[in-house]
Amino acid sequence: MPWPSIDVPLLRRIPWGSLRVRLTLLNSAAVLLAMLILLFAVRVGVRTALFNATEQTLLGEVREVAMSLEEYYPSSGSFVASRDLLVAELRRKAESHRDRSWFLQLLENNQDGTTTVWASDNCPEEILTEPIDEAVKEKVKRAARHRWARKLIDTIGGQKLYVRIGMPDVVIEKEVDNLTWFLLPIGIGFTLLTPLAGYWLALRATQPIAGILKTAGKLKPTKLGDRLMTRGTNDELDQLSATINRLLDQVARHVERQQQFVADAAHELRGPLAAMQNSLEVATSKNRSLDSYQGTIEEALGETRHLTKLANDLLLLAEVGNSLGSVFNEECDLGEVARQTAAMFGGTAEERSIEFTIHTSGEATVRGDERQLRQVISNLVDNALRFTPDGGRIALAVESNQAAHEAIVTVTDSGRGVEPEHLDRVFDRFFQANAARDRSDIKRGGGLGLSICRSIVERHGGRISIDSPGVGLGATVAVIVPLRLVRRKPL
Amino acid sequence: MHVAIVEDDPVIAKAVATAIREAGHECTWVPDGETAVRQNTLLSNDVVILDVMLPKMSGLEVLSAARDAGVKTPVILLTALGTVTDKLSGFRSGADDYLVKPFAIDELLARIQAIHRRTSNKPTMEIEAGPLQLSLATKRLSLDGRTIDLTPTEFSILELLMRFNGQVVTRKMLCEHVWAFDWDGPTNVIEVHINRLRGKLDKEREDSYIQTIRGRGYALAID
Repeated sequence: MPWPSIDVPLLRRIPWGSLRVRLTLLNSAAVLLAMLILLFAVRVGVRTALFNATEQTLLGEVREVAMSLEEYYPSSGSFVASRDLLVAELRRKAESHRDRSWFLQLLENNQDGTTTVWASDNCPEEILTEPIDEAVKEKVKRAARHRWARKLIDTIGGQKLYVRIGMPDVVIEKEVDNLTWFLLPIGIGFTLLTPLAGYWLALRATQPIAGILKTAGKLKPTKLGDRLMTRGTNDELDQLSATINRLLDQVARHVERQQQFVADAAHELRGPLAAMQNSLEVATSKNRSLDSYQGTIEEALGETRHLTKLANDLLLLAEVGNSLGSVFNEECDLGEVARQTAAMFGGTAEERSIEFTIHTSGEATVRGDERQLRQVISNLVDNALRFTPDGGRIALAVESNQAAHEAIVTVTDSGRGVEPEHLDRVFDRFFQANAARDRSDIKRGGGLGLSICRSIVERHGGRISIDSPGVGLGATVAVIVPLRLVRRKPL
Repeated sequence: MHVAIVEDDPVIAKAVATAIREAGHECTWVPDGETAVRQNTLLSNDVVILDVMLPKMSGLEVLSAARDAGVKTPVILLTALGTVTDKLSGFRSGADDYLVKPFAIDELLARIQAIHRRTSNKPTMEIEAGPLQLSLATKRLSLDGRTIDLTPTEFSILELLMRFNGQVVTRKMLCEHVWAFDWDGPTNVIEVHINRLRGKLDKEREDSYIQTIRGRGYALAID
C-alpha cells in the first residue's frame, strides 16, 4: 500500500535544502535529545535517592522505638505495662505520620507463631501476616509496593517482641511525579525555544555567507574588481573570504596576462601580414620587372616563414599548457639531451670562436618528454649564442642534487646580460628587451622561446630562473627538474 | 610516378600539384573524401597526399577504408593539427608519413620521393652523384676516386643532399636527419657544416656542388 502523501503548504514553503534550516533542525534535535536524557536521569536519580532516604528514616524509627522500650521497662516495672506504653507511643507515631501513610505494627513471636499485639489501621494485610526471619534482628524489606523496617526490640521468657514501621511506595512515587510535572513545562518551553534560538544562531552564522554569495554572484570574467568583505575576526568564514579573494586576485592577474598575450599575439601576427599585404599590393599595382617581382615574392616568403614559426610556437605553448598535470611515462637523461644539444650547436659556436663547454656530472634522469626537454635546452643555448659576441664563452652544465632530488641544468654565457628590472619579465610571452623591429634580425627571436621553456619546465614539475650580474656581464639560466623516482632496494 | 592530392583548399592543391608536375611526375587533384573513395584514388596512384580535414568524409576515414580494403599505396597525411596525439592517430589509421601545415613544398617533394623509394626499392649501401660516391657501409666519401675525410655531421648532411640530388632540402629536414630534432629556431646550425663541406668538396672548382637556395634550404646539383 502506498504511503498517503501529506501535503502541507507551509512545509513546502520551507527551504529544506538551505544551510540555515538544516543547522536549525540539527541544533534542535541535539538540544532535545540532551534534554530528554537529562530529565530522565534526574527523575531516576531523585527517585532512587528518595527511596534510600526513606528506608534510612524507617530504620531510624524502629531503632528509636527499641530504645524507648528500654526506657519504659525499668520505670513501669512490668513487661505488660511497658508494652502498653509502647503501643501508646506507636499510636502517636501512626497519627503524626498519617499524611505520609506510615503504618506501624507491634508483634510477638513464640513457639506457637506470630501474633500482632497492635497494628495501625492502615497496615496492609499481607504485611501483617508476613512471617519473621528470627535469624536477623533488624532489616529493611520491600514487598507488594511497600517498604518497611523491622527490629527485634526485646526477648522476655521466650517471647520475642518486634516492631515494624513502613510506608507504601506510592507516596514516594507521587513526589517523583510532582517533580516530573514541575520539570515538564520547562522541557516543553525549551522544546519550543530551541528551534527559535537555533534559527537565530544559524542566521547569525550564515549571514556572512549570504554576503559572500551576493558579491560572488556579481563577479564576471570581464569584471573581477570586487572583493569579498572580511570582518577582521579571522574565523573560518573570514578565512574563506580571504582565500576566495586570493583566488580572485590570481584569476584577475591571469585574465590580464591572457588579454595582454592575445593583444601581443595579434600585434606579432599583424606585422608580417601587413608587410606581406603591402609589398604584394605594391607589386601588383603596375607592371614591374621580373627581378622586382622575384624580390617581392622572396620577401613575402620570408614573412610566411616568420608566421609559421609564430604559429608553431603558439601551438606548442597551448599544447604544453593543456597537458599540465599529465603524467609522463618515459624517462629522459638530461645529460644525454645536453650532449645532443651541444653537438647541434657546437659547429656554430666554433665558427664564431665562442668557447662552448659542456659539463655533466651525476645521473640526471627525469621523467618527461624528451623532445620537449630538448627544446628547452636548445632554446637556452640558442638564446645564449644570439646574445654572446664572437669570442665569448658559453657553458652548459647538467648536475644532479641527490639530496634535493633534483636535476639542474644551467646555461651561462658571457653575453649582453639582462637589466635587473627585466629579470622577472624575460619569461613572459613576447617579452623582448630593447627588441629590434627588424624581423630578420638574428637577435630577435620569436619572443616565445623562453616562455615555451618555462611552460615545459613547469609541466615537468620544475622551475626556471635567470640571473645576471648586470648589463654586459652575461647571464645564467637555471632549469631545475625533479629527478625520476628510483625504487630503493629493501635493506 | 602518379601522385594524387586529396585537398579541399584549391590554393594549396594548385600549388602542390604544380610543384609535383614540375618535379617530373603526374598529379591529379581530388577535392573531397567522397570523390576519392568513389574514384578509388588510393588504388590508382603510386603515392597519395591526403588532407585530414576534408568536407563530408575525413581523410582518416578515407584512409581507414582503403587500408581495410587491403590497399597498400603509401599515403602522406596533411593536417593543421600537429600534436603528438594527432600524429599517433594518423599513423594508427595507416598513414606512412605526416606533414603539418604549413609545410615547405620542398619537404613534401622529398617525402614523396623517399616514401616511393622506400616502398619500391631495396635500400642501397652506395649513393652516387656525378663524381661523388658515398658508402653508407664504410662511412666514406670519394670524389673522383680520392677519399675525403668527413665528420659524422658532414657525412650525414651530404648523405641527405645526395639522396635528393637536384632537389631542395630544407634546413629542418637536415636537422631532423642529422640530430633527430626538427630545430627551427633563429640560429642556423646547418650553415657552418655546409660551409665546411664546400671547403672539402670544391677545392678545384669555382662554383659549389652545394647551392644555397635562399629562404628554402640547400640543394646538390650534379647531373
